Amino acid sequence: MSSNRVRPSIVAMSIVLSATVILSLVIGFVLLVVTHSARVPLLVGGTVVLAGGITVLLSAVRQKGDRRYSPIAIVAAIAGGAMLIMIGLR
Amino acid sequence: MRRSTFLASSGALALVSCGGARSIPVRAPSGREFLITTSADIATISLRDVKTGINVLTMNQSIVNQTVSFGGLVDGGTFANPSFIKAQLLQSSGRRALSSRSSLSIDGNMATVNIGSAVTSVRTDPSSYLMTRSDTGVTTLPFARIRSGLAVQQLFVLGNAHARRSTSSDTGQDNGAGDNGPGGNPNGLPMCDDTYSQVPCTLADGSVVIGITSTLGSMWASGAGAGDWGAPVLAAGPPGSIASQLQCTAGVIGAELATVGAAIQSILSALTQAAGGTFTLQEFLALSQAEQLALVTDAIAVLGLGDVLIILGAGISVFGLLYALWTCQGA
Repeated sequence: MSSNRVRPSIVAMSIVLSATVILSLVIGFVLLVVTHSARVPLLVGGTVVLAGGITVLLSAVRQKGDRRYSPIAIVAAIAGGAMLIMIGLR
Repeated sequence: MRRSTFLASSGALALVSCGGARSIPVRAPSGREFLITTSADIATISLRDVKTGINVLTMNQSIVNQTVSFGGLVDGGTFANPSFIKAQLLQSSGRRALSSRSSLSIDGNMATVNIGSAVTSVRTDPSSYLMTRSDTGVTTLPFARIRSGLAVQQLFVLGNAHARRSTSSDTGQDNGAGDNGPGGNPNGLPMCDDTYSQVPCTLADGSVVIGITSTLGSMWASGAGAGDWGAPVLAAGPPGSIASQLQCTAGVIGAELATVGAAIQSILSALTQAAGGTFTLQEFLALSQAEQLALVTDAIAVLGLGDVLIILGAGISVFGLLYALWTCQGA
């Protein structure tokens, strides 16, 4: 692995993404174990996804013409978060 | 604001800023755009990525308005005590600035510090001096902080601190003692009055000078003393070229900014490489915590908080969904 030279930003991004995934799984597992319910992880996760979607939306609005985000991706993120919350509420 | 083409693609870059708040947009050959900004007192120079808004380099200096000699160097002479300078470099440049791979070579009145291609940060404490103590004063190499893991390949230190300015009538010859400074202008810098507003002026040896916002002439023809400096000038050329030896009234200012300029150039060069400046995980892990944190912060900024939140929320939800499925099957 050490011989694979990559862009520094990719190293840092990989670390951030890996840490995020691990953290999310840990949080989800802890919530599940503590509550013994699917409802709480779904509500928490859905809320966080929704917040992320809104953040992306605001970012895209603020930086007009930012091509990093497609409208479809933004809608999908917001809808996905809302769907998770709705599943959790059922 | 007019955009300028960044001309330096190899070698050293001298950034000579002689006062006044200035901003110049530059575009690296890779296409990335940066804004070089100097504060009014030249205390701070920053290089900001226009797209991400991230400052990839911030330089502070504390010697503005001092006319000092540089490393004990006498005008036209050589470093009085190279070993002393090297010791100072090694002593004060921080953990990462000079590693075992670093080297310092002194040739005549020019010192070149090679800090290796993998070093990602050049950091000195504001209170420490990379070059200290000279016959007439104290000087500091820039407090440079280079983020994003961009490689600094070479630091470039000009040796002569004395005023070396050309006059408006300078034709490129050494005009001698009457040429606004001790020893005149041995650099043989031809006058570049037309280097206003980012119009490049090619010097005799092919190196390039670009006036940023005002006249280069005012810089060279200005009277002695701090505060009477003219335009910031961006100059590009290989080590030893005329452009690399541009100096302001207080030559050390020019020298320091030249050093920063070299760092900027190195950054831009790194950006232009296909790999964009390579890096290994081991090298990342070898960085200090602050440097790692800076890199991670930059990565989050590039990724975007929203993306991180979406990933985080999705991961949390996974357990809820799986548990819901499992309990449904059980039912």
